[in-house]
Amino acid sequence: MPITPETALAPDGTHRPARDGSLPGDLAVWIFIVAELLVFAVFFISYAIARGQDVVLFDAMQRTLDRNAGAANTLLLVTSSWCVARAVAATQQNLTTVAARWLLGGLACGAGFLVIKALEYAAKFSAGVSLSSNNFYMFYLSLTFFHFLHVILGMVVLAVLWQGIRKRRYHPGNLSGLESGAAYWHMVDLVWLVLFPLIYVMH
Amino acid sequence: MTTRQIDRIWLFLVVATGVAWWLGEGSGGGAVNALVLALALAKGTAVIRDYMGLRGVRPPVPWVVLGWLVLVLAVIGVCFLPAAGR
Repeated sequence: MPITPETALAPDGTHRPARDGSLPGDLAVWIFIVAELLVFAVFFISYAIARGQDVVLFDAMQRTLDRNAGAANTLLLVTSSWCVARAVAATQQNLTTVAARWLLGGLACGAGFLVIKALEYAAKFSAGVSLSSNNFYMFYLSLTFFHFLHVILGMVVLAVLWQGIRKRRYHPGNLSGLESGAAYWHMVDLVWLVLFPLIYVMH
Repeated sequence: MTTRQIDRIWLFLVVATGVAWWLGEGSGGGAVNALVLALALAKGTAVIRDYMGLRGVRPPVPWVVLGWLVLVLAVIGVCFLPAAGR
C-alpha cells in the first residue's frame, strides 16, 4: 500500500491521532448505538424502580443468582472488548494477520459468554423459574435475554469484520466499517457493565 | 491509543470487575452500592472514551453516550437509596 497522509503511522505506532476530532466509524451506526442505549436505559430504570417497590423480594431473588457466573461473563466481555480494540489498533498499523487473530479472540470470548449464560438459563429453567415466577425474574430473564440477543448479533458483526480483515478490506486507509462494528461490540460490553452491578451485585 | 494503553485499560477493567464482585459478596447497603456505581462509571467511561474511540472526538456523540452512562447510573443510585420507593 502506498504511504499517504491517510495511511502514515503516528509516532506512537498508531493511525488514530491524525483523526482530528472526527467520529470513528459511520454516523448512522452511532445513531443506532444511541437508540439501543436508550432502550436499555428504559429497562434499567424500570428494574430499579420496580426493585424500590419490593426490595425484600428483589434482594432475596438476587441471592438465587450465580454471581460468579455474572462476574465471569463480565471478564469475558471486557476481554473481548480488549481483543477488538487490539484488532482495530493492529489494522491501523496494517498488521492484518495479527488483527484477524485478535478478532478471533474477541469472538471466542463472546462465545464463552453465551455458553455461561446458556448454562445459567438452563439451571434456572430446570428449577422451574419462568417469566411469570415473580417481578424479579420477569426483569432478570427479559433484560438478560435481550442483552443475550445483542451478544449474538455482535458476534455476527465480528465474524463479518474478521472475514473483511482476512480479505484485506480494512487497512489504515479504510477503517470506517471496522470501527463501526467495533463500536457496536463495545456498546454490548458497555450495557453489561451497567447490567452486572444492577442485577447481580447491588442490594 | 497505543496498544500499551489498550492493555492497561483492560487490566483496570478486570481489577474493577473483581472488586465489584467482591463487594457483592458483602452485606451491601448505601455506601457499598455507591462504590459499585462509581466503579461502573469508571469502567463505562474507559470503554466509551478509549475502546469506542470517543476520546477527543467533537461533540455531540461523546456527550450523548457519556451522558447516557451518567444519567442511567444516577437514576439507579437514587432508586437504591434506602428510603426510595418505600
